[in-house]
Order: sequence, then structure tokens, then C-alpha cells
Amino acid sequence: MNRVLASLEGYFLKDYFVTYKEPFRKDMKRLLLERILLSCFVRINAERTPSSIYYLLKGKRSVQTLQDAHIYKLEAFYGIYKTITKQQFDNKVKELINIGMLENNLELEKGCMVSKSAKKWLHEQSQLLEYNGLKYYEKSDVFIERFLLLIQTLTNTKMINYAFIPVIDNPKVESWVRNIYMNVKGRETQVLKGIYNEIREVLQKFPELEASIFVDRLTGYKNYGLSLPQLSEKYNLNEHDIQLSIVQILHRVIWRIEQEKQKYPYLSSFINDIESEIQLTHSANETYQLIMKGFQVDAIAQMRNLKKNTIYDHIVEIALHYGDFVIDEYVTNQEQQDILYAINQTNAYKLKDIKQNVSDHISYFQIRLVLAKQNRL
Amino acid sequence: MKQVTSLEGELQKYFNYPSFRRGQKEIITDIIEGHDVLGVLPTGSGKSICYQLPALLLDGITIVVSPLISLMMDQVKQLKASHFKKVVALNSFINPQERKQIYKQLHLYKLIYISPELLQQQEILNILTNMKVSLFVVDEAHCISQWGPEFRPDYLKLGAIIESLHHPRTLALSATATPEVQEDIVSALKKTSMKKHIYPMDKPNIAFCIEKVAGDDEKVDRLVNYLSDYQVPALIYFSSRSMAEKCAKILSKKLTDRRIAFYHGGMEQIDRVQIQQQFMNDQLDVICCTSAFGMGINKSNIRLVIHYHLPLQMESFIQEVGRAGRDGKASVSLLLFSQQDIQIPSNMIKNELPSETDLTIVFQYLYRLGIEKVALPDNAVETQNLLQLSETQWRFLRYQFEKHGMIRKNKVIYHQENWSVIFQSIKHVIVQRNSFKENKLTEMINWVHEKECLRKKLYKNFQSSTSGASDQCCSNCGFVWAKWTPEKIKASENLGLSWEERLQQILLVE
Repeated sequence: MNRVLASLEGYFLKDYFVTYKEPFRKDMKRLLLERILLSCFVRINAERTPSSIYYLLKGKRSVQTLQDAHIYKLEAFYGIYKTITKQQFDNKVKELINIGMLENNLELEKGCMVSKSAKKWLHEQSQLLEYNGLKYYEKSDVFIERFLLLIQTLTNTKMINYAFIPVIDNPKVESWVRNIYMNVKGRETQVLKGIYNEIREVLQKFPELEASIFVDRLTGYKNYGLSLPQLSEKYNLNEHDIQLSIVQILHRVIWRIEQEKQKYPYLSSFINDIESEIQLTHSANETYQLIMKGFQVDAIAQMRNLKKNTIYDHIVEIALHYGDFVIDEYVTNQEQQDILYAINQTNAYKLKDIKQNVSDHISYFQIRLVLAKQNRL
Repeated sequence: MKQVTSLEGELQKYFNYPSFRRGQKEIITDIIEGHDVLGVLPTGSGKSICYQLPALLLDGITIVVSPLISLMMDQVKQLKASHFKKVVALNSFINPQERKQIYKQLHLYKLIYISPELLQQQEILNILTNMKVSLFVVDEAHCISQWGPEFRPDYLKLGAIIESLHHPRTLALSATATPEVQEDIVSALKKTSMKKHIYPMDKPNIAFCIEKVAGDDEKVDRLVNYLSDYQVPALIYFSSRSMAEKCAKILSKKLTDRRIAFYHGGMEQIDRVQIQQQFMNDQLDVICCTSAFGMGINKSNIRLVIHYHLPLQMESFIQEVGRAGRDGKASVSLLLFSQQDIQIPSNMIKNELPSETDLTIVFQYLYRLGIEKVALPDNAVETQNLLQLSETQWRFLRYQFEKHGMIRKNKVIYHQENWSVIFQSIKHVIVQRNSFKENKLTEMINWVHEKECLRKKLYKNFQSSTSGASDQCCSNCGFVWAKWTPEKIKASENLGLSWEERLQQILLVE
């Protein structure tokens, strides 16, 4: 593996003692979207279309997208930019092609390669890209919505103002905040102080710019937070950078809280009840239950009135979800060895290439299943 | 029933207002006494109190038909904020599961906001028919009239709905209804004995000012000039989102000491609330916005309302201008006009309803469905995308098709002879609507070129006389900027604070 790839090894939050030497400068460009896209393109190595990256960033709940995230070790970026539109994405890819950072030619079919100069540029970027998409793609939304609404509620009730327009319009979040409020009523000052101490300490560990953006987004008593366009103007960053910075700080904050729950009792309570693992789709779960009862694929397809291929999709999803799911029933040990050998030979994850290098009787389903199992680890 | 004499007491108790504003008490009294009422009250006069208070005082439930989902949500939020909790908004944005849940508990609410589209669904209608409906409210009732500025075909079906709800007393409200439109409302709702409460909409404290300029550059120059001279809360209306954004950017650069932001319907929910509330809270001075801003906004000290683009009709202009000076202090409406502007509203009108080509394509599509006996997709968005129609265009067509029996439920009923007649008839309606709107636009343009008193001409279709200006009148009656000296607002910026200090401030930590 070359140097550039090695440097891209992980985007996960992992180094607990890392220091962020990232002083805030007014003219600083972050170019987070560009860096994330290029990093994805490097990993995918023209084996998938650019759209696969779009679905990854959007956090599409499809087996294909989840499997790609695992295969190409891009779990960190899963669902980190849910609001990006296809048009914005396509424009950005076009732009990267136009300035020579991405190359696409007919040989590569629909994929894109990252140019040498772009790899060099990527390598020169000192700010860390740290996300935990697959784990936090849902949690970060819940955390920020609860945080915003609780701060707004407690600061207002502390000032004896019970009539305010909530910034979050989400019945689930509302009822969570209502519950908390009932418990802490009358102790607002103390709770706000507690939250303040904890969030300040956490934010201090991260780049000043991100802390500053996070604080500007908050709404208190007679003090409404800034909108995304306002943030973009204030920090002279484009809206992609603002959105991705907010997600990055959220992932960092949650990660930090999870590392030391005892140290952050207030902040932990915002996420204690949230599942971090991605849930199986409802339909895949039904299939899973039937498999557990010992039914075969044909029988399940018949019982559920679904196509066999759909059941196969479910099985791949299950294998991705449960690391200990045994696949031997669907691919023999010998077949698994063949597939793994072919993967090593072709040094690629293109299903078509792998298929050409294994015996004819091995199906795409079996290859995908082995890939799922392999990359789950 | 509660004593009429205690209405003020109830108002104080539930809404914390010491007294009624003009028209409210008269309308509420008639409703409590069981009359059907048509109320035309100017924007900002507190129309919603006219049904919110009765909703609390009457036994059963009150249903409010409201055309704009965002407006509905705003109202519910404000009511909840002021401790009116038994209120709910029903519209297509609520997912079916949640809606089912609400339906089950519908009897727990006193006030139910609903979109006219949803009211067409048998499921909810069945539930409502079995409940005691004490008051049926049609908000923005001018939507009923083909001659109203925001004609919505679904509104025409409300007469039948009122009938199936066993004729509850009915209140129709509008801020903008000419006598012609008022007649339409009464006849469409089949409530001929409606008591009319019509109040003048002219605002004596607003001066009307039209300035003719060469083009966009000059418009921006003027904006910069006036906004730097006057440090007052201001709204600038644009007819496009992108122009509102662009102008907000330019103005922020040129007027660094002013706090300027943009607002339009394409923004995320949280951003919309934050911008609205920042403005309410005097954290912002100037908002560059589209017509999406302002409904449900109750800020009393807006001093300056500027129209960067020409509105499509006098009705919208009057509504938007009516947001200025609700506290009665001298305020200004400024319309910047350049000759090129005429093209924009003209194009907007053409795009509102389907063109003849669109119509042909849709007919071909329906023909195919009819022949192949395939139903229309349940999801309207799917159909709109497939046929490349806007929401308004498809809603209009669907209503027409249903009216002519071409569609029943989601089934297409093909009939060769009838269809060619229907095609002509729909085409005729489109032509008629377009020329109606063109006339409205012409009215607006004529007003811009008016030589006599702008105030008198602006209101002449709505009321027989105006009460005259309490300060300066209009640019045709000798308006002078120098004579307008509104109070400056204080800008309290906490620039220079570190994020830790800001965090401390927001969380009220000492």
C-alpha cells in the first residue's frame, strides 16, 4: 500500500490524546467536502460509480450502500451529510474533474480516479477528518435536537418565560425534553451550570473554530442561534464546510462523552437511551427470524411472498449486521476459499472481476456474502 | 353559555390581553350568539382571536380550514407557547401513523386546524361528522373566490363539507376581500344570512413611496442609502429566493454595522424559526425575504417595508405593507420600480397554471391510463414529477378532472366525446384565469404610474373612503424622506466575546 493510502487509513475517532493545533483564522478554507469526496474516491478506486459515494454521504439504508461502506472502509463517512442534494453532489464532482483532481475515462467505465496532484494535496492537509458515521449517523441528530431544545427550554423557564417558539419541531424530541424538564423543574440554574461545565470542557478539547460554530448555533432566552447561511457568512466558509463541521464536532463530542461517561453525567443523559448500532430493516429482520427457526431460502421466499433475490439481499444485510452470523450454509468452506483467493488475485472488490475468477457455479450472492463477512471484521 | 359581558375577562384570562382590538368583540359576540359571520379585517388586526376565543368558550370543537401549512404550524406553535394546549394541526406532512394516533384522540382537542385537501378524505370527515362541531372557520376565505388573489379550487368544496357536518355556525375570515369576492364567499358557503363585519384596511400611519429607477444597480444603491440613513427594523420583499439571498449578501458587505439576513420557504425548518425569532427579538435589523415571510409574524415596530420587485397584485402588496407600523407610529412603504420589472411577474403568472402543451401531455397520459385501466399513483408528488408539473398546476388540473368526472378516486374514466369538450373547457378556464391575473398586474402597474394620491387609489377597490394620513401621505402628495425621523433601534452586539463567554451568556451561567 502506498504512502498516501496509508495516511488515509482511518477517519475514525480513535486517538484519545491527540491535540488539535488548529488556531482559528478568518481566511481559513476547510474544504471538508472536497477532502471527504477525494478520500472516498481513493478508497473506492474507480470500482463504483460516483453515485455510490452520494448514497454513502446521505446514509442510504440499502444493503449495497452499507456493504460498500464496509468493503471500502468508509464507515466513518456513512450518513454524515444527509441534506446534500444530488445536484450539489454532481456539481462538486464535476468541479473536481474540471480542476484535474479527479480523472474519469472510458477505461474506468463509470468510476473516477484521484489524480496524483490531488493525492499529494490530500496528504498535505493537516486538519484531521474524523467522523463516526455508521455509529453516530442517527445519534448525532438526536443529540443536537435534544440539546438545542433543552437549552432553550431551561434558559426560558429559568427566566420565568413559558411562552417561546421552540427551534426544534419534532414530537419525539419534545416529549423527551418535557420529561427532563419535569424532573429538573426549579433546579434550572444548577442543571444549566452542570451542562455548561461539561460541554465547555469537551469543546475545549477540539478546534476553536468548531467550538465557536457549535456555540453560535445554540438558542437561549431571548437569544436565538444563527442559521446555516448566517454561520457561513460569519466564518467565511461555504455551506458544505459549515454543515460538515457541525457534524464533525457533534461526532467528536459524542465520542468524547462515550469514552468517559462518568465524567459527563449531564451530557451522557442526552444519548443514554439511543441505540448506536444500525438497525436491521424490518423486512430483513423478519427473514432473520425465519432463518433462526431453520427455514430455507426457498421456503422463506414462498412464505413471505417475496422473490428469492430479495431474501438473498436480506441474508447479506444480516451478515453485515451480525458479525457472528454463520454463512457456511450458503457458501461451502471450499467456495469461500475460492472467493477469497479471487479477491486477493484481482485485488479489487468489483463483483464482475471476482466472478470471472471463480468457478462458474459460484453466484454473485455467494460473493457478496463472503465480502460482507470479510469486511465485517 | 358564558355571559357576553365577561368577554374581556375571558380574553384576559386565556390570552393575557387587556382589551379587544377593533372588530374582534363584535365578531365574537355574533359567533357566541350563534350567527354565521363574514369578517374582513386588515392584516395584523388579530383575526385569529376571533375564533380562538370562541373555541375555548363553546362546548364542542372548532375546525379551522387554513390554506398554508406553514401558517398553520406557526399558529399552533404560538398557541401552544401561550398555553393553549388543546390544539392540533392536521395536514399531509404528518405521517400516516402519527395521524392515526391523533385521530383516535381527536375528542381531546378544542381547536383543529386542517388543510382543505385533507378535509376531502372520507376517513377524517367520518370522524368529524360524529363529533360536535360548534364552529367551522374558513381562514383566508378569499381563496374560495375565483376572483380572490389566491384562488384554491379545493376551497370550493367547503360548502358541501359544512352541509355534511350538519351546518355548524360558520365564520369566514379574510384580510383582503373586495365586495365582489365577499359575495362569492357567501354564495360558495351557502350561508346567505351571514352577518358581515367589514373593516377598513387603510393604515393612516404608513406613507407610500414609489421610486422609479433604471435597474438593479440603482435599486441596490437606494437600499444602501436608506438603510444606512435609517437604523430601523425593515423588510425587503423579493419575488425570487435567489435574488433575496444575493441581495442580503451584497447589503451585508456594504452595510457592515447592520444585521441583515434572508428568509424564504426553501430553508430548513430550524433556520426559519431562528431567523424569524431573531428578527422578533431585535437580533436582526433587516430581512430580505419572499412572500413566505411575515404570515403569523407579530412584530409591532417594523418601520420600513420595501418592495424590490413588483408584487403580482394590490392584495399581496396591501398585506405585505400592512406589516409595517403596527404600533401606530409613522412608517414607510417603499416600492422600487424599473421598467424591466414588468417581465418577471408576467412570467410568474404564465407558469402558475399549466400551459396548453402541458394540458395536451396530461390528457395523453390519462388516456393511456384509461385505456390500460391503470389507476393514478396515490402519491401526488409522483404524478407531478412524471408530468413535470408544479404542485399548484397539478392541484388545479386534478380539481378540474374530478369536476368533469374524468377521474373518480384514482380511476380514470375515458369517454372520447366528452374528453375533447372538457379539454376545451379547461383550456378556457386557464385562459380566463391568466387574463384575470394579467388584469390584476395591470392594476398594480397602473398604480405605480398613478399621478394622483397613491393612498386613495390603493384602497379604492376595497373600501369607499380612506381616513387620510396621520403623518406623511405618499410620494405623489409630497413625501420627503427628511421629514421622516423614526426612532433608532439600539444594536447590542456582543462582538469580541470568546466562545466560552458566549456559551456562558447563552446558558445564563454567572
